[in-house]
Amino acid sequence: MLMVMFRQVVKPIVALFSQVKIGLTLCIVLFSSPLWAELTIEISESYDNAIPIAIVPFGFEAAVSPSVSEKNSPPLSQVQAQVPLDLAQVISADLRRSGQFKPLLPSAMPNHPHDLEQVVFRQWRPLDIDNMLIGKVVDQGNGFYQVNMRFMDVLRKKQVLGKRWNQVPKENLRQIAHQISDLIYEELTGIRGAFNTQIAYVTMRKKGKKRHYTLEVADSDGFNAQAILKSTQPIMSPSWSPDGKKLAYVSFENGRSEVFIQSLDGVYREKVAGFKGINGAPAWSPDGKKLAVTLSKDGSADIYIMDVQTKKLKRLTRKWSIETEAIWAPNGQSLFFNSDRRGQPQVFQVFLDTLEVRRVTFEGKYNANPEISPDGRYLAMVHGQGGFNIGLLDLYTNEFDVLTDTFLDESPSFAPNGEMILYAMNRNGKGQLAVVAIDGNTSQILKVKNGEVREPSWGPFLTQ
Amino acid sequence: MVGFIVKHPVAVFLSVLLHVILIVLLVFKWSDTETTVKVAIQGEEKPVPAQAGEIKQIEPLQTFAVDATMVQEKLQKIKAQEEARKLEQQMLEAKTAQERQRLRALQKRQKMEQEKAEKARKLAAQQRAKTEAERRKTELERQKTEEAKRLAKLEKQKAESERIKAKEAKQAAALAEQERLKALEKAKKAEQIRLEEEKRKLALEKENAKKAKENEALKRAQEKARAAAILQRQLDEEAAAQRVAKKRKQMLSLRETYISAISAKVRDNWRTPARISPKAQCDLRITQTPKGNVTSVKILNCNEFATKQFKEAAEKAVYRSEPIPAPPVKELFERVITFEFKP
Repeated sequence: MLMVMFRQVVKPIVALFSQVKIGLTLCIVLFSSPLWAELTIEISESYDNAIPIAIVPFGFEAAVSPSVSEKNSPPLSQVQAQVPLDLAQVISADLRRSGQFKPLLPSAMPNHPHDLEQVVFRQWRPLDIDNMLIGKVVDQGNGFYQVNMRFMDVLRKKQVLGKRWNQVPKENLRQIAHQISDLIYEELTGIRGAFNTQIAYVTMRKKGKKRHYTLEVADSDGFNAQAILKSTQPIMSPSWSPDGKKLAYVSFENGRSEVFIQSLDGVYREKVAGFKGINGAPAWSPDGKKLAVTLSKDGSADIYIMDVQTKKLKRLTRKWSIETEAIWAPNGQSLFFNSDRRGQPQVFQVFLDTLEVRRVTFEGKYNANPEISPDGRYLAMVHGQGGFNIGLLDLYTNEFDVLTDTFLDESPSFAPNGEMILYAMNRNGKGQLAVVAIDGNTSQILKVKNGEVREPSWGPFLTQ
Repeated sequence: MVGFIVKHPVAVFLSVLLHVILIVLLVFKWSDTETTVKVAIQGEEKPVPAQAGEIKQIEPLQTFAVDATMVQEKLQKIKAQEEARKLEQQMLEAKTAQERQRLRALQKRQKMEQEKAEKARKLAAQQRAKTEAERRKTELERQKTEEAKRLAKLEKQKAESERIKAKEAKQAAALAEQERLKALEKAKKAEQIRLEEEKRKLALEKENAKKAKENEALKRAQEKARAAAILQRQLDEEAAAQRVAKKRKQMLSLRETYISAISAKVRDNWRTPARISPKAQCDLRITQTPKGNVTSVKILNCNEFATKQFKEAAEKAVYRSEPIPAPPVKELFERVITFEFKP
């Protein structure tokens, strides 16, 4: 019970003591470092009535260079003729992952048009599809590409979306593909897509007796994983700055919990809280100017607000009990946090103007690690009732639902469009990540080879 | 005499009345003598003025008493006076006794006289009554005879008038009889004519009736035929109307089935990845070709819950429903169909 109640706070400390004698290894990974452990995604559940859609493989036009006409240069043009990235595949995977779409296999398509005039709608009607995406990538030379896309309404026989990107470097083509997914998703659902976003998480691999912790950032589909920080000591609680350029996290690299802020490119890194006792659970304010942290420097763990610029602290709670895991309401005027002041962890809300505190959760005996949806409507949390699952409280209606049926769930994190929740869970004794739709209708699992993955955090929308 | 009475009844009556009044007055006068006697009796009580003179004598004594100053003298005087008075009294008493005696005698004499007068008067009255009765008797008799005479005259007059009346009646009866006979004759004649007329009429009527009957029969037959025709026509019309109504009803119900089939197909083809409010609702106006191909879809009258995604999904559902279900009968086909849609 003690473990259960205090696990969010005590666990790091336990970890600290168990690892204190092992020599510290720390490596800050710069942006240019090679791809790290790739997450693989497995869709476990999807909507019954996912909608068929055709994402036609993109056409490719090689660069027309003067050398093409020369007879002695076919090998070069052959190399250039290679499609650098199958955008259609990335987009199909995105849409499939949402659980709401059922992309047609390219082999089931009558043909692969990539221009408007090549589309014969009546050929597509029997396939029971409403929409199709066609496009092409044009090699503009020097590793830059032009991407064209057209989103067609097969039933009404017209184009509903069309966009062109110019001078896209090869490594950004994936991002373009996610952007196209976002456009399609928004067109069909009315909700902004969150495919072109990133997630942060911590992997742990055992090498002999040593544990290797890595803080990683990847695209929302698990690709493009990049290590931000490597350590033989635990790394915890990554938190995205609202601009998506920095992460605040807890590192035990110095034998105790300390809060750091680091830019994704690794250029900037700063320890912002290294007080005696616990320094944990950082959370950015919506304007990015403040950081809520849990500190026990004045006795028991309490919530403090730190000015990121000046590092000045303001104590928000004053209790003998443990107050931790603060998050900001989207309007920045209040914070939700976890407190065991009533004997068991429950979620409370504190208003910054009056410091008035009210209890928010009443369902069950254990509600911790709160996370609020971007629109401020839903509060996700770790809900303990027999096991630990992700619970969702509708703050408008006060309806409470348990969304997951996985094991030892923790660290819920909303997608920036509020449609999905990324969380950590345990399967076969291994930590893995999972995504669940807020209506519980679809879920997927993200895992790494030969290791465990924990502490996920879904990043904000990337400005396009 | 009776004739006179009859001739002057008012004068006779007035004379009779005068006589009666005279008689009454006579009787009254007689009784008046009686009252006169009574008055005389009252006039006999005349000693009252003598008493008054006695009182007058006392009055000077009182005056004297007021004037006396010399008591002795006076006492003497009074004594003497007293004595004188006593003497006087005695004399007076003797005088009054005498007077009384005289009065008593007078009274006695008066009484006797009175009785005598009474007797005489009674006698006279008796005498007078007797004569009066006799007179009255004769008068009555006279009257009686007069009355009898008058009655006889009246009788005579009556008989005369009756005789005249009877004569007149006889004449009238004769006349009436004559008249009656005449009338009878006339009536007889009239009756004859009437009978003849009747006969004629009857014959005519008979003929007429016969004719009417024939006519009636004809008419009835015609009427019957016409009624039958009308009935038939009505029946035909009704049947036709019923057929039309039935057909209309059938068509309406078929149309309902048709529209609901379309609506059901569209609903079957409804799908969207978007989160749609269950309250969302729009009218869909579909324009189709006879083969059921959609040429246009209009989304109309949407409520506040209908988002852009709802509208587009509804439109797509219509296209996906191609071909639009055909109507159960050809004539029900509608190129433009509008229906309410909610998923």
